[in-house]
Amino acid sequence: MSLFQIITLPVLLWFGYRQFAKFKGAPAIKVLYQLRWFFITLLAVLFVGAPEISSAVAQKLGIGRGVDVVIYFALIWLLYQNYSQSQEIEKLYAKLDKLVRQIALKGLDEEKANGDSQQHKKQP
Amino acid sequence: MNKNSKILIIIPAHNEQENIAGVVDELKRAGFEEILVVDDGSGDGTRDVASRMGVKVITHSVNMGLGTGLRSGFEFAIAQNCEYAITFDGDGQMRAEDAIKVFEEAQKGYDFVYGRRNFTVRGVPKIRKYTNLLADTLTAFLSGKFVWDTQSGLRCIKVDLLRKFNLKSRGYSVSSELVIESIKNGIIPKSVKIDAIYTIESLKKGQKISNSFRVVKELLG
Repeated sequence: MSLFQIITLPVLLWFGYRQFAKFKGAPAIKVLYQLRWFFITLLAVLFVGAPEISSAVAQKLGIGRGVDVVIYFALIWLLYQNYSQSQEIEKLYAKLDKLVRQIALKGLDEEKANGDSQQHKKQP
Repeated sequence: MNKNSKILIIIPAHNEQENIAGVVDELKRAGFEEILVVDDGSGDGTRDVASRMGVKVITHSVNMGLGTGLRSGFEFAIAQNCEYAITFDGDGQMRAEDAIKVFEEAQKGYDFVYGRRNFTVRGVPKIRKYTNLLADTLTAFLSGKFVWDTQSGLRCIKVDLLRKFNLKSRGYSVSSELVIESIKNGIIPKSVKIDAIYTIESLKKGQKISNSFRVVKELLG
C-alpha cells in the first residue's frame, strides 16, 4: 500500500461513514441525496484502493492513464455541480427579489391605509 | 414645467442619509411634487430622513441592488397611473434643473429621454470614462444600436413604455437593460446634455471596473 493510499483511504472511509450514519431516520428524499454522495465516495475509495480499476477503464475509453480518467470525470462533474448550483442560486435570488418588492409595495399600501383611517377618525 | 402631467421622481437610495435630504429638497424647490424614495435596505437613517421630508418611501428589507430598487419604483409609477417616471440618483450627483431638462425634452414627444453626462469637464476620473464606454459598447452589442452614456441615472421614461418592458436586472445592469428594452420596443433613447458632478460618495458608489464585469455577467444571464 502506498503512502497516498494510507493517507487518503481513512479520510474517504471516515467521510463515507458520516454519510452512512445520516441515512438512519432520514426522510426518503434525503436518503436519495445522501446515497448520491455515498456512491461518489465509494467510487473514490475504489479508484484510490485499486488503481488498476481506473487503468482498465482508461484503456477501454482510449485515455492514456487511469488517473486521467478520474481527473476528466471529476472536472465534468464539478462543472455540472457548479452550473446547477449557480442556476439554483439565481432562482433563489429571483424569488427573493420578488418577495422584497412585494413586501415593500405592500408596506406602502398599509401606511397609506393607516393614514387614511386616521384622517377619517379626526373628522367630526 | 407642465403641471398637467403626472410625474413621479424615483430615487433609489442605499445608505444616503447624508445626501437624501438635499436631493429631495432641491427637487421640491424645482417644482416636483411626487417624489418616491426607494430605500434599498439601508443600514443608516435614509428611510427616516426621507420620511421626514414628506415624500413617499418604499423600503426593501434587504439590499437588493439598483435594478430591484428601480423596478419597485416603476411598479409604483404604473400602479399610480403616472404619465412619466423620472429616475434620479440619491447621491447628489445630479441637478434638479437637469431633471426639468429631460422632462421638457420628453414632452416634445420622446418616450425615453436621458441625461448624457459631459465627461470632458475637469474632475471626471478617466477610469469612469472607460468603464462607461465599455458598458455602452456591450449594450450596443446586445441592443444593435449604439447609445452614449447608457449608465446615466437620470432618465425620463413614459410610463406607457415602461409597461411594455420586461425588466429582470437586480444590479447596475438595469441601466443597460432599460436601453435594450426601449430599443426592442422601437424607441431609441434621446439624450440631453447634462453636467457630471462627482462627489466623494458618488465616486465610491458608481461604476467601478468590477461593476462593469458584473454588468456583463448580468446581461449575459
